[in-house]
Amino acid sequence: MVELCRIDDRLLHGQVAVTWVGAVAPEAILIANDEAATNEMSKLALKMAKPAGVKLAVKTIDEAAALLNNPKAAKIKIFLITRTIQDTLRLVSMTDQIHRVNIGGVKNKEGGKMIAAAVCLDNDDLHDLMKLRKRVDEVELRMVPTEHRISIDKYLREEEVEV
Amino acid sequence: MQNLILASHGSLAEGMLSAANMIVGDIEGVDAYGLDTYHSPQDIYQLLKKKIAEDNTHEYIILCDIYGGSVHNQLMHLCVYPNVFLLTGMTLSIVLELILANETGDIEEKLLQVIQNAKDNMLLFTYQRVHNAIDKGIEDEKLW
Repeated sequence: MVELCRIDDRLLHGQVAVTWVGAVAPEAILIANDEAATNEMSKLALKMAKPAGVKLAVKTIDEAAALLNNPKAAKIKIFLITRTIQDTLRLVSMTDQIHRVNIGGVKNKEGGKMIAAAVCLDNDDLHDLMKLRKRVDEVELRMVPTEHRISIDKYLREEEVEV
Repeated sequence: MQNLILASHGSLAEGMLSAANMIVGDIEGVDAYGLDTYHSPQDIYQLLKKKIAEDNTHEYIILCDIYGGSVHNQLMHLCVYPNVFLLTGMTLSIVLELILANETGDIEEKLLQVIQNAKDNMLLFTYQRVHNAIDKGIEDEKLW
């Protein structure tokens, strides 16, 4: 079962390892990212960021969906990490195992709007976020677990995004 | 309750706290004393001595920047109090681990483990070492 899916453009790094992994207490961390899964240097760095006592795999989005759809995944407490809203949307269209999404970091880009310290959304992001929101139970904004959790719903209503 | 105190030359202690704050956010109950602000090790010593003498129900974990430095030499005198634990060679990983650790269990044992973990985290990376690691193959663990 996917306990939490975190969107973070830095994937697994020290902050996530020391705060989120502690709070979620997963048995396995699954990183779903096409680039990282096929880049040995990225994989090596991600492995180093892994806290002790947790299993880690770095997979492409397709491979990750297949893994999550494996019935065995239901018995495991999984912390899933993706890089973008778009990747997460792709994943939820291939598996129904994802229910809670946390947005921690979305890269700055031109035409984007900062909606939290490390979260920058452009129009495409907003539309995809709306689609994502409809497919899961909850989408919340938070850098670290000790922060106040902000539901994305209010923000989406304010932006009145058409889907 | 355990109080964490960072002490250093220059502003390393304040900088260390700032870095830890950036990573875990909203840190409470951690104090930083750098010599840029507190001028002499003696000043820091007097401030801490007063604090500790007034309240012996809490434990004080003091992290000093360098073994044998003037800050360490001076603050070591605080070990006359049984509720003081002093570590030298402060690193960000030590600070984070102590902030996130729970307060149960034997404190001395915990601190020795934290020191060991910090030592284990000090590694050298070079072109050759990184390529050797990659050449060995980076296999994913079987998750389920």
